Amino acid sequence: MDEFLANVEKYRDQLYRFALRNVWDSSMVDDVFASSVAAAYENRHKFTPGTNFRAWLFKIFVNKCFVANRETKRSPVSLDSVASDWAAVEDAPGYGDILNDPSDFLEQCGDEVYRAFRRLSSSQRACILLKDVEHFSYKEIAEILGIPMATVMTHLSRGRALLRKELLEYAQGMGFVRCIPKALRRLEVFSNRRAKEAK
Amino acid sequence: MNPSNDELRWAYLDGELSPSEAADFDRTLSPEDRERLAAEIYLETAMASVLSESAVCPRKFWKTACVKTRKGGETARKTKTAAHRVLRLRWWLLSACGSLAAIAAGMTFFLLDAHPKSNFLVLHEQRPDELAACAQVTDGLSAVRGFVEAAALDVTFDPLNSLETAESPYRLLGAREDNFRGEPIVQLLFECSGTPAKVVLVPKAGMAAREVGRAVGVGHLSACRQIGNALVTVIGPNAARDLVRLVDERAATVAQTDTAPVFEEPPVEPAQQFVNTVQQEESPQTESDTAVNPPSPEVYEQSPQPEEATAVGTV
Repeated sequence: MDEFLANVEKYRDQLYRFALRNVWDSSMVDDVFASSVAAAYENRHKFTPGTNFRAWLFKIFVNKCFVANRETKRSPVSLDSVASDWAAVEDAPGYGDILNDPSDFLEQCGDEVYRAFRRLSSSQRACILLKDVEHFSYKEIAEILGIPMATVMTHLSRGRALLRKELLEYAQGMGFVRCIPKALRRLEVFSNRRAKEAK
Repeated sequence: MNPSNDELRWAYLDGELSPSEAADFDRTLSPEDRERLAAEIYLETAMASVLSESAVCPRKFWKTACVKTRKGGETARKTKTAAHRVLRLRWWLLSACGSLAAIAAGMTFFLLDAHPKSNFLVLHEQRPDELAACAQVTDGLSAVRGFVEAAALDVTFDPLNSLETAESPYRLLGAREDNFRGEPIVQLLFECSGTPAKVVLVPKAGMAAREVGRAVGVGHLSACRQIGNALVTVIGPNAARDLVRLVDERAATVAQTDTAPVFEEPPVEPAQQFVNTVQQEESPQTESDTAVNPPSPEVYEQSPQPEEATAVGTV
């Protein structure tokens, strides 16, 4: 058991970070983390030696996070209905300012980045975390989440676009970037129309 | 499903396209697009660094996880041990039941279905010569008779009618002695109209007799008869069932022999014996003389002539 826990401990910060960012209810992170480690130990015989132990651990954590989010019964703001077209975001006024100095922009946003991230769906968050933070490949993410690779690409694309849109709106509201309400309104109208067409 | 343009762009930025796909996609990009995509990568990296910062697992979290895992392991081990105990108990029960079943099967086989083991009640040989080959005594009627009398059964084999006449369907092949669970069994081997047959003599009270009784019940035997302390059984074709009459009780035979004048002849004095011998040499025996004064049983058995005489004897 000690050997197994020692192996898990190598990735404990990564796993904790993933649980912290993925679980809606922060008070459940402790439970999710502990139960995930226990579940990993109980199912250790299912791990095939020679394969990716880290990915296997993340798979267990992803499942536990999904279960915890389901129990919370808190539905996120449905951003899928809002336009998630990257083109619509990058054409929005002020987005160029963000791209000019992303670090400065994110510093000004502060915790709003986390809040915006929390508004994404579980799958989108999981995909973005596994790709951008944990640096898994699309194929590995697909295996961890148990979904097709094309779905992973869709989740990533939509999630990133929505995250940008959220942050852009926040930045416009806070005056970090140039705000052109008319143009933004036009963007939303355009996005809603496209969403309806897609339906 | 073909990936949309956005998905392709992200895949390109993430380095997930194959070299040929990346080259194809790269060809479609203008210098402004390239600049913009580079800025996107920069933004994405910055956002990733924000999402990954200040997320060190607290020590107490890890301790809680370890405690929970150890508890879970102990619970699982306890459950496993309990399950093993039940399984072990089951194994004991199963092995005990199996042993009992094996003993019961053995007893049943021994007591009820022992026919396959009762070889003396089965006629394995298909031809008379095969049956004759397994005989222990094949030296003729007198030898077989002596063999039967030597057995611990109070019966005698004394065929009054001939076995070797043209009318007789039987031919004596020999005799053999077997043993069934410590009990002596005498088998007289015959040929009956070209097919093998045998007469089995077993003690009246014993396991062999029980086997014979069962075989009679099943209908495997042609004939069966109780004579003295023995049970006489015929195994073979139905035509051989009269063979059962060739065996008689020894005491009765002795009594019958006692009444016969030939066996009551007083012992001959040496001088008289010499006179008789001379008389016999001077005047050879006729058939009438033989009928009146038959030779003693000892002489009857020893000379080869009397055996033929027995063979042609009448009832």
